[in-house]
Amino acid sequence: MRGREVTEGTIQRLPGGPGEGVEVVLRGDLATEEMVLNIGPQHPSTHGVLRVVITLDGERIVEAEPVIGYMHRGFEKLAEVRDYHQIIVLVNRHDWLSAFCNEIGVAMAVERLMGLEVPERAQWLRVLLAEWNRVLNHLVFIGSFGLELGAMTPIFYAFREREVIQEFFEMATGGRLHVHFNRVGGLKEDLPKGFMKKSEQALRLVRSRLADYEDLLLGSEIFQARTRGIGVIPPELAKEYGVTGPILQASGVPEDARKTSPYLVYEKLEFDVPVGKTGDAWERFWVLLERVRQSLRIIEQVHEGLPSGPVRARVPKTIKAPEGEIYVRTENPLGQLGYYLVSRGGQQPWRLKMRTASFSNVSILPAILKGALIPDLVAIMGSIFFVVGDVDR
Amino acid sequence: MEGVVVLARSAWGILLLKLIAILGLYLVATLVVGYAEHKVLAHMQARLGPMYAGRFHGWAQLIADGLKFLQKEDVIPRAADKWVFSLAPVMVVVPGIMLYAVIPWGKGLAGFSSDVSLFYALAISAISVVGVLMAGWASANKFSLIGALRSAAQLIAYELPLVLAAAAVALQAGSASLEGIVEAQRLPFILAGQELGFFIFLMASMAELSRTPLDMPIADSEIIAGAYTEYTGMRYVLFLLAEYAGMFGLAALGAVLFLGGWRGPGFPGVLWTLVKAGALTFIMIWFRATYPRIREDQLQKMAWAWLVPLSLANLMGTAAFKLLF
Amino acid sequence: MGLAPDELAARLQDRFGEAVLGWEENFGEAVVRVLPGALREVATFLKETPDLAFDFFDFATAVDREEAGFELVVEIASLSLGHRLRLKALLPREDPRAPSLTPVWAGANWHERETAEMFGITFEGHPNLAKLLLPEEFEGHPLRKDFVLMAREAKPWPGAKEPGGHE
Repeated sequence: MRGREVTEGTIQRLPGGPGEGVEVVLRGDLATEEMVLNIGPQHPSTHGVLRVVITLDGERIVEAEPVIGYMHRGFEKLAEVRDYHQIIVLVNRHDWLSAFCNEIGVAMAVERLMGLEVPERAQWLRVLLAEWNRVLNHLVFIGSFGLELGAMTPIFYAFREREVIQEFFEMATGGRLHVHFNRVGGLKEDLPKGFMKKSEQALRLVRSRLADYEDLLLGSEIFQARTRGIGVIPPELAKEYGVTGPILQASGVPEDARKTSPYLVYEKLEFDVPVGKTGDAWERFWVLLERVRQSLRIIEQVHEGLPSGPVRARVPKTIKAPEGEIYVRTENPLGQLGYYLVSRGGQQPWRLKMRTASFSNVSILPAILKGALIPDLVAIMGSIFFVVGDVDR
Repeated sequence: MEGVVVLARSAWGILLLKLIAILGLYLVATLVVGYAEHKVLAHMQARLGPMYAGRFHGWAQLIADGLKFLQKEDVIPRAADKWVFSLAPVMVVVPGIMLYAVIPWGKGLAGFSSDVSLFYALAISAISVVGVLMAGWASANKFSLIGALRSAAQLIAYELPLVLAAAAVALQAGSASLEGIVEAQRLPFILAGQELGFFIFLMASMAELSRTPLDMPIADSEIIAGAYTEYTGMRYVLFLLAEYAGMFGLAALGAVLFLGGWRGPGFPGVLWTLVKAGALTFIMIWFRATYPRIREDQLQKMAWAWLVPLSLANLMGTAAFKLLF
Repeated sequence: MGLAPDELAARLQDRFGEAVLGWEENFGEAVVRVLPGALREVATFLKETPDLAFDFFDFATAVDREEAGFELVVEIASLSLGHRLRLKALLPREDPRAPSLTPVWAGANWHERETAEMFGITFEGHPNLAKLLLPEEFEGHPLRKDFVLMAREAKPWPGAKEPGGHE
């Protein structure tokens, strides 16, 4: 176990009691038995290999320290020895639930450095697939949040919807999860015949099913009792930690990269940014559902306004980004994804920093877990939407 | 051959037959309820459930599971208290079987009848708390300990409303024997003034069984399996038995107390009891599919601040009604 | 929409004079180079001045500039006013040290821990500079250019050469 130093008080191991490992830290005159508990790295309710070491006083959390790095794969080092085509494959994989959205950022960074103009149709299609990816991502968290609180059914419904969407993703890109469809300059190829029809059907289906999630979860008294007022994140704290996405929006800050620094064709599209008032777990879930609604709205507009034309700009055979640097921010489903690219003119980047949303989102856990109860621990962690691959890269 | 018949008719023979029948019912109930839970949950969740075991819609799934568990390695954690660890599942299962012994499955078809069989039934169901505490403590595991303590708190808190709701029924029927209660239900009590009592009884039963939404003690997304975490193989099966058969047992008790037991037109009484108990079991499974989990302190609040006063009011209301009419 | 890049740079130059080594505009964003020693004061100034109001901590990382040293890069923004800023500070290659920005923005904590383990930079004043992503026993600083990518060291690679020249 990673070192956790107890600086005050003396440690005693009391005889009897259940097994080893119960450290009693005596502070002052009162012998308060504080238990150190490990949640994870394998645990049904942490999304993947996240470990949280919590110090308990009864059922109340005194201190919580997330231990990350179990899934660190060295993406940034790898990126320095891969060319841009390979990097697009790589970035599918840090936030694996939003593969297409991850690719857009990298492609845009290189395109802007090169001064490339991406064709209209490619930009609209990028928006279409990015928004469907957003719906896919949010459906996972809608389902899994319920599951962590004990509601076993919504996750099955959510994955049923995901199947429908993943089917036409596979039609177009060949991949259900890792799509590798963006290229520097646009998309790999145009959409297959029948895609738009499936997209429209899926739009109607997901829209109609949103009411189910509201009834089963949002409106359920038990769900509300478990999440209202729990895990409140004040907006100032959120901004200090660099928290973005649904969590920041639930805390009352209307920050959305699609609105504040628009990219692709988001300026031409109408959509709202849902903003909460209190920043508790319930509102984060509510924001999630609202974002799905807004994404469906965008998808509808793309269905109507999609232009024809090429889907990829003319690019040289080997893509070299000219010397320089750039920081590109996109609104990923989990929050703001940023790519800081430093190029020395070669086929590979000199440095590619991936500023991932989950990294900053998870870093706020120690601050908000203090003083919470164990059952609330699960509600809070479930409401901080993160993917471990995104945290560790 | 004649010897066997004489034996079967003698007191000892009848006792033996009864024991076999009760045990048989207990085990078959587990199988049926377990299978029902798989299938009902599955269909409510847009999926199919077991389909392969036994060729036809996986009817033999639970049997296959039982055989699987039988051949598992017997593991006791090194730091665990061996005797307490091994005895705990027994403490949870045996009271369940004893409950089946006393329920009137048909007219005159109770395993053992008595003037105070209701009292006996309620007392028996309370013993399993000790078993859960034993399991959690002896496991030498922090998660188990937390689970056992939560369990104890929950089960004790919900005993009261359970008993009070049943007491109101006894009051209305004028008898503490389960047969007497069924006899007194010309109209099932649920329609004759015990609606509130029925609701309280249902809630308290689900809490006694640690079923969602009241399954904090075994909240599997938080503390793995609570008090049962360290149990494997046949010992774990005993806990599962206790849960499923317990569901059916408490549902049968509820059917006897509130739904009129074996009363019903046309079909034989036994069938009616089974159908009514089955309906209540279905409702419990339905609850599990629909609701998230209530937090432990909210659960306690619900018991002490709501169910206990309500059940007291129900009892007094029933008493007043009895006095006046 | 907040201040323009040249205005931001001018404010910093007015206040900190010599400590601001230069600035440029990078794709619409202000990039200001400062002396490492002045980082904490610059950060506090940027956060607490009402019309600058840099309340959002985006990220902190470093870039290996070989002989020139390590370039520390800190990206911050003001969500209320709408402007952004990239701060850069060049640290010497032997014994790279910089003041920690954690007292100013709590979010800098994890970013500095990651930068420290990846590049070997010491952040003075950081509450707990333990390893974040790498295991405790890990030796070396992976993102330095002289740290060879391990994957191909363990076993010869039968395929084509990587674009970076590694086998």
